[in-house]
Amino acid sequence: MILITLLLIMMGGGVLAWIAGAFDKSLPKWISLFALLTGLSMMVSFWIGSAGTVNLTAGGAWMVTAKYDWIPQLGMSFHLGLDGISLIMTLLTLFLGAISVIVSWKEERNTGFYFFNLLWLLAGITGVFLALDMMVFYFFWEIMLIPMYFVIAIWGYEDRKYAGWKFFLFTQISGLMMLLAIIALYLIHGSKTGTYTFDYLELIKNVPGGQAAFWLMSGFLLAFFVKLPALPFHSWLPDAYTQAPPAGSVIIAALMSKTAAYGLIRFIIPLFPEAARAFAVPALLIGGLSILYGAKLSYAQKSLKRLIAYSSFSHMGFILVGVFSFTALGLQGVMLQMVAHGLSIAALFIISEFVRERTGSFDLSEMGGFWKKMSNMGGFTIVFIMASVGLPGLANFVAEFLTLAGAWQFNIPMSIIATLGLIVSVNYSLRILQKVFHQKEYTANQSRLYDLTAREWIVMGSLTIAIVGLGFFPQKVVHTAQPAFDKILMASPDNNSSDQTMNRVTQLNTMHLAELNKKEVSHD
Amino acid sequence: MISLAEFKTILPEVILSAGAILVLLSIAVKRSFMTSYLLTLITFAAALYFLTGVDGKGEMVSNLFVVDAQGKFISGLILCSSLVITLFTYSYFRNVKEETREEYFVLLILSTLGAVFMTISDHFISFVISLEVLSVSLFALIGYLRHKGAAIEAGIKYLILAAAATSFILFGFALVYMTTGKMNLHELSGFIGAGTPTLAIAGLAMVIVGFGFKMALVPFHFWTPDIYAAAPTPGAAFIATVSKGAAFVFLLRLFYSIGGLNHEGIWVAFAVIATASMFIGNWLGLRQQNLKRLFAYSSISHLGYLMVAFLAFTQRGVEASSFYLLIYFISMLAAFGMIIYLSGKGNELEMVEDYRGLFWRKPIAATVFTVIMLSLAGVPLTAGFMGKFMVLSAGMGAKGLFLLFVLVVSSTIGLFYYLRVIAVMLSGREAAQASQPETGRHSIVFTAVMAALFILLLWAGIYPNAFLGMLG
Repeated sequence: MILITLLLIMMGGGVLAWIAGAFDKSLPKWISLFALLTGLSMMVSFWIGSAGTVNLTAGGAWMVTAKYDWIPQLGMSFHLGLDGISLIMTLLTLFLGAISVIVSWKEERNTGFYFFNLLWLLAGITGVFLALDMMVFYFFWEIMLIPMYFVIAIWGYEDRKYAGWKFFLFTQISGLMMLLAIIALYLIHGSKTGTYTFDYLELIKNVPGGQAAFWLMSGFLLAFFVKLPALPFHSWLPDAYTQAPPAGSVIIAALMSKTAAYGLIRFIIPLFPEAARAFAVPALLIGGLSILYGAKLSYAQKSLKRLIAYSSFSHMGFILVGVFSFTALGLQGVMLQMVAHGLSIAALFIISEFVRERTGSFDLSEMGGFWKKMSNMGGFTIVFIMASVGLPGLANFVAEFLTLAGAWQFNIPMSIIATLGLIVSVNYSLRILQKVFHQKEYTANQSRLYDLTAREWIVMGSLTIAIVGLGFFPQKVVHTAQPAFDKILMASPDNNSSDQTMNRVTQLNTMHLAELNKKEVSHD
Repeated sequence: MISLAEFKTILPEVILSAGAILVLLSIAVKRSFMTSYLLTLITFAAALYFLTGVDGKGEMVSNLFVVDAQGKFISGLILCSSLVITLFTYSYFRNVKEETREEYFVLLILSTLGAVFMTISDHFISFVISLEVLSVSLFALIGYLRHKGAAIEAGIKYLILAAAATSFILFGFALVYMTTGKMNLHELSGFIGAGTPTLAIAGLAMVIVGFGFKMALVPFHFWTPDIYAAAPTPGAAFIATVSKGAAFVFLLRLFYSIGGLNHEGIWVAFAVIATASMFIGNWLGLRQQNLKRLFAYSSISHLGYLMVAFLAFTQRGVEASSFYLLIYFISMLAAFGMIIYLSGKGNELEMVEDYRGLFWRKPIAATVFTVIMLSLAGVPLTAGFMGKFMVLSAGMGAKGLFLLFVLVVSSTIGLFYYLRVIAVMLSGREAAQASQPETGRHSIVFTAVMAALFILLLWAGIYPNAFLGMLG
């Protein structure tokens, strides 16, 4: 019930905001903030209440599920489920959703429709994290697109139309390829077992093999690689990320890209275990190259927002590396990376927006010496730059370290390539700090520079607390998600032959992880 | 002579014929736009009412007609569409005072009669006669606005092409009759096999050409944009939906019953036509500035998608195509309805540019229009997606896989122009406030119809159980 309520709060809040927008310009933002905070407090209290009660059951590591009839003729049911991974991602979505509402507090153009789009976008993302029926998943996957298109195309910057189109077309065609794969999966499963169903829990009991599995996986992978984005499919990214309004950039980079990462964990590994393993080396290579190529592009940018956009692209490479290492360590790294990267990239995009509000552009060459006037903002920027670089004590370090450790167990050369990414990330990240806050004097208009306002303090402060807290206590997240990962890794049928060894490896990994967490805490 | 039971089975068609005569007589007594309008509405409503009393289990009426589940479903769909188009017609012609307007309704009833007969035809003869009833009324319907040069031109264009198409079909039928000696579909059942004479295949090829014209499939599509643009908008809506849908149903009945798709050559011919329609339809719409022409290209591509379901050649294919027709009818009617709804006296908003900034002037109308566009594009949560889903799942199979990829890729190309319309509606906020073109004022009935179509679009997109149940 809590899952349905959560979705209803967001969708209903969106409709309410739209209606309220006709009467009062500032009402929608209050409604949206209230809806998101209600959802957040609901999920937090659920998280606290469920601590320690998570068990592995036969069906999986589900804490709560909900299933309703939808279109029985076609074997579709409205099936939602929440396990540790989804719980963490839902919390992140609600938290960053609330942040993005506060970021767009000064939005004045057609606020009702704006906040409607924002809330439906977040509802779509949440739905993706909760869906346990392939068609429900696909529906939510697509629900994200249209509001995002509107957000970019109406409230974006100069080139918003072009960016909106590009975004929509890339994601739409890859989504349709995934739809083909979903339908094929449904028919193959149906003809094999006699029950035609889109239910995820049914489908993973009887996964296709051989050639078919490879092609089906390709359909899914295409959708996820585009959304992530991974190397050859990233060309929509700089436009969409840069042209979107601040809240749009936050959501698209911090949350929407995570739906793809989530999809890799939730669908690719359990549904196509053999095909995924066969594809591991190319996938790791794509991941490693994405890290390096993204870092290179990021370093070359003249626009602050584009620089951050490419850095996001670079960091998403770690997700591929972690997922396709098929180790508990790697997957835990991905889990932490999803949260940590979400927080840090959101903060960086927000900082770029704060700078633009003051100077009127994203052009790095026009900036410099902001530290004098805006030392508070500079301080926060240092925190998130350090997070992005991967400095110990902040969440991103734990995430990237676990990912690389996991990849090392699986494929050493690939993990070395990925590790190089850590070095290059220092280059572009420090460049932000140097170009914006130090170096030459800002001469254009000193009086336009002012330090953080109260609203901006709230935004940056809460993000900082989250990322530092996560850096100090990563085991909270790890612990919540662990049962789900165990289940996913155990479900892989190729473990049947060596079930025990695999279980032992998983156990070892878990122990290793627990030890690591302890060290981490004592060290800090 | 036909029996009483058989008479009951075709009662809806009888009522339509009677209705046409009744409207004619009423015009002879006293010319009144309102009277003809109401009589037409009553005719369609009565026909629909009596259609619900028909069993639809494959009852034969003499040798000529068969009322099966699909025939009944599509007949009902056509009658509903004609009812909606009648309502459109009233709103449209309230703004056009130069013409004698009453006869339009007669033509509408007659063409509907032809279409409905076509969906239940089981015989070459009955099909050709109903095709002619439909086509002849359509010539007049298209060229109805006599003072517009383009309308006359379009009428003549359609006349010539439709006549050519009919003669192709007739010639094809003649060849089939020559080799088999039969004209009844159920007697011809499954006659395509290993030893089918080439002459019969050649005949079927000519039939395909004829149907290609009727359904505006590529490469027989050239008339479509001109006629959509020149015909009165309700007439264009009629051609886009009823006339194409009826032709499709008979095509499906014909080729499924004779097993025509077992023949490799015929299958490939259809596959090529479907591929071309999907690509060209979506491609040509890209730079189109005229909204009605844009819908013409859109309908070409949609018929291409429909052919994918047709090519599945399974029971699933039949269901998927019926469902797709339903969705397509709703979307197209809503799209044309929106043009009529927003157009004012004397200035039809037929260019995409006319809709600039609509979102800021009329947010509700623009939202409805956006949903219609998304439905035509086949985006989830709208009816168009469910239709596409049914087609994709029906077409899934080793043989048709290529077509599915074509469908996916081409529909993404098509997305460009649907999005362009939406983008135009979203942009130009400043201009929108400066100049407000006069838009039409409409009755509550028309507004209610548009609202109903809008709700149907969302309903069928989110919770289509009831609609799937209707397919049986």
